[in-house]
Amino acid sequence: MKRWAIALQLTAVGWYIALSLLIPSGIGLWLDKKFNSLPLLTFIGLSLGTIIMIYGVYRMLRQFQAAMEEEDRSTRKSD
Amino acid sequence: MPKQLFFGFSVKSIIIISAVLLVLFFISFLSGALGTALVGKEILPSFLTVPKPHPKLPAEEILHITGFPITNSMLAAWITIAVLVCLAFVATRGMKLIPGRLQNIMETIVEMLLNFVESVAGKENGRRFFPVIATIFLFVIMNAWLSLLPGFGSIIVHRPEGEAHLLRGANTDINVPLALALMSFIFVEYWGITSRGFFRYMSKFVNIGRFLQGVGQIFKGKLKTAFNNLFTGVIDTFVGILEAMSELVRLVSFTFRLFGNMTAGEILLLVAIFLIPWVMPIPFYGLELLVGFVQALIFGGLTLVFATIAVTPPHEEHG
Repeated sequence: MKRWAIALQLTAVGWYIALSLLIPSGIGLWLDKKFNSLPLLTFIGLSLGTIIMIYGVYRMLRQFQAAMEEEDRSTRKSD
Repeated sequence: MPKQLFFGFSVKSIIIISAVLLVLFFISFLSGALGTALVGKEILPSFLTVPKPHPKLPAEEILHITGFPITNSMLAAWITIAVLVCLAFVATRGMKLIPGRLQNIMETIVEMLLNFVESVAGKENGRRFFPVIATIFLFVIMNAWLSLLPGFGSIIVHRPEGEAHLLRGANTDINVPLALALMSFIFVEYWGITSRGFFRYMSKFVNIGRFLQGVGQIFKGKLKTAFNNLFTGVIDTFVGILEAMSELVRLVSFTFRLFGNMTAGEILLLVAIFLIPWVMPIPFYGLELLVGFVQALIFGGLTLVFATIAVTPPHEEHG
């Protein structure tokens, strides 16, 4: 796929970071209130969200890098 | 001696034009909020001054048809649809081999969109995606551009609950971007499922095959391979959650990007008109034309990119 097409996906990266932190911590908070174990599950959710966030952003960037390398290879071939 | 020309105008006409512009700017400055605040009181008659804008986020209901509310943004969306249908109808009514002016414009637009879609998705998939992508693009751009016309936000309706605007840009009502985002979401999933098969497509999200295999191997006593499979199985499951998450994030980011940009543009115009009417909104109108185009391109383009990713098998995606 074209490089700009993959770069276009990065326009959603802000929402991705925000929501991947918020949703697991929200679920953790909800479970905490249900089981009355307040800080524990929220923190677990938050750390899980952090891992999801970092890994997800890493994957997006790797996709972009792979496309760039492929483009480089194809231009070198045509030279 | 030949007359000296600047940008095709003679010196005399340039002086007249700039004098008129200066007077216009001066009057508009005085009639706006900035000028009024500087002078201290309103010196111009009241029909020249601009009232304070009251932007409202939810769309206002204009009328009820058997209990079903019709909002002003719905009316605007219907007008957009009517304009698009009429344009298409008129342009294709008497098609000729050597096209007339309107047919030529429409053909250029459709051809550009088709080239755009095919350059990303390839020839075969491009033809499949084209109708939806082009519809989204045209609908969003028409919504954005029509709402810049006079009449939007200036015609007032009197209802029992108070005054409301008759028309309002459809993109500035969050329900329209949400509906578009849902439509794009459903189409992307549909294309993914039809071209890769239901179970193969769903295995992107629920990827526990390796994990279950590892669990099975524990009972068979192959501990080393079982441990390996369990570990990669956990990572696979995790990646599945990640994919599902990014699918959900897409919906939200689609919705809020379009809604936010369009509403911000509308409010920017309102504020510009309030501060210095007539003169200051002009560059912002130009900006809004650009923003409408860019937002339509991003909405259509992102749907296209996600659709292309959904139909390509995962190992080709990175290669």
